[in-house]
Amino acid sequence: MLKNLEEVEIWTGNIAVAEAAIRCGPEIVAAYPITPSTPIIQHLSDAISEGRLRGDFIAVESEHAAMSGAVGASVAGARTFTATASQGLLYMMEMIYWAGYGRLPMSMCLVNRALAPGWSIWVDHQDMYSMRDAGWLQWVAKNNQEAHDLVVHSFRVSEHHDVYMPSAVNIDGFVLSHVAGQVEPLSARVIEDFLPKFEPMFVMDPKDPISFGALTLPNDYRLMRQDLLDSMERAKDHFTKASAEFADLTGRDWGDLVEVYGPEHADVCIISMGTMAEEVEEAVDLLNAKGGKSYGAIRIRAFRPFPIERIMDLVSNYDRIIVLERGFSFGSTPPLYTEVRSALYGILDRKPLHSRVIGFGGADVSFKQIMETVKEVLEVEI
Amino acid sequence: MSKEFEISILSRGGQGGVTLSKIIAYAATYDGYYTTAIPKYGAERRGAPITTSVRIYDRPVKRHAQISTPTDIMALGVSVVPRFFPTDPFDGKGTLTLNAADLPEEYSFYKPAKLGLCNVQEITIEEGLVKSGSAMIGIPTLGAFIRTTEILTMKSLHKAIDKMFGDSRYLQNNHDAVERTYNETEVITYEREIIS
Repeated sequence: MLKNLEEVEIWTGNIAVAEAAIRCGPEIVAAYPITPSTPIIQHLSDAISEGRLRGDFIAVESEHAAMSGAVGASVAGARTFTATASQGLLYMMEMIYWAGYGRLPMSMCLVNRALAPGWSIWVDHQDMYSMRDAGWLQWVAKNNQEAHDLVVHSFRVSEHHDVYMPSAVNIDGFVLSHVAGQVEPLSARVIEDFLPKFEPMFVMDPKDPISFGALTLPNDYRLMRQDLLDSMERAKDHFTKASAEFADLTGRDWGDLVEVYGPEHADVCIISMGTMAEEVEEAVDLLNAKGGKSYGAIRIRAFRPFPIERIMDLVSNYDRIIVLERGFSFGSTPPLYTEVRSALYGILDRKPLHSRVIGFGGADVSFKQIMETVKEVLEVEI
Repeated sequence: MSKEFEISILSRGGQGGVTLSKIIAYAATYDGYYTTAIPKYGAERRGAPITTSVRIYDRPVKRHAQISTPTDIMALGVSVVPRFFPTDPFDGKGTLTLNAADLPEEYSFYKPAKLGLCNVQEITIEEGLVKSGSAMIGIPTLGAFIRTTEILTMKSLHKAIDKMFGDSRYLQNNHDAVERTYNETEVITYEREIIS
């Protein structure tokens, strides 16, 4: 429920993200424009030149340089923000791993867009999947308000010393980035209560030199990877706690690592991410109103760390699970489906599980299509 | 009964369709509705026919897909409606707000429940909303839209205009123009045969 109508803004997802970033006060924004994320960067550049944001904007010549700038900023102890999409992410991928394996907190908005070729500027999740194992936290928003809120979560969790790694906030290209929706902007008071000041664990300073990314022998390398694994696990609790605290502060309860929708127990559960998950909520309501089988939904808010334990806890409430997603893993099963199937292996009472990839390359996904897909799955595969 | 309005704004690139959708969304917010404003994604070209959509619901908007069957259509010119809707999308329901003094003959197969006609072009010019030789008809059309559809209030429209154009030198002209288009819109309600 919208609380104060006078303060509600009609913001695109891009502006909602940029405005949240401004409120978090990054000291460095290093970025290079790419559709559909460009308005985020323009908005931040304007904010810096107008003095609304007291940070520096590093205008670079490519996405590789953008992430290099972000890596440099984070290693120097600055709160750091950037944004990109699709091919831009691929071009910065070497530095994405430097940020992830180098344990450099920062927040990046990834405006999800299909990968080329064929050339598409529209939404799917192949870019998100491409950075799955880079040591980044990956959060996924379902609407403009959550996109705004998740940016603040991302800084908080990334910068916590128990976690200390970069975050990507994923928003669906065009479907969120360019659609204007109602956003209640976060107040300075909420930001102050929710987001502590960034206290870097280490800082590269010429007066007090340290080495970063130096040659690492296998024993140390193993320790570094083990620490990354442990920190990912700890990120689950920190994100869950942050979401609960955020709900208390703002009244906006987005769930934890997942958001559960519909009746507590149902015949069929639909698992999905991003804006598709809101269309799923719509489909669940309509399917339940029709009678017959009952339906529920689980929305994945954290793709990394993946909420294995939450999925294991929740699946006992349903008889059958359908995973809907916007991307592939060629030569294997689709990535989200693979994750869910892997989580289900850990329980004795294994549920029938179905997979459909829809809405890729910018294909529109409506609640009607979801209802048809569910019907088709149940007819064909049972 | 829940309220779900899916509005299509038909215009041409450069007429400000995207801005109009945001003004409607702000007005809807002030009237207590949930709303989203959706541009047609892709390359923008000046002069090319373009649609922008607004969802106005009395519950949170969870639909993200494009609007294909609008409940209400607002057209900034007479040439754009047949372009997007070569067949009747109304079937006796919904509204059509048209920037025209009279209904063009080729519109006879459209069957909305309500039709709003207003010579927005003329009012816009009379109110001094002319820039670089072209009449800025976008915002003035909203007065006709509100009169025809009765979804939103003029009070909220004025507030939304202030919100988005508070520092514009044309601010007062726009306020005056929407009042005039609201008052000077001819609304025709069609009686339909009820087949039971």
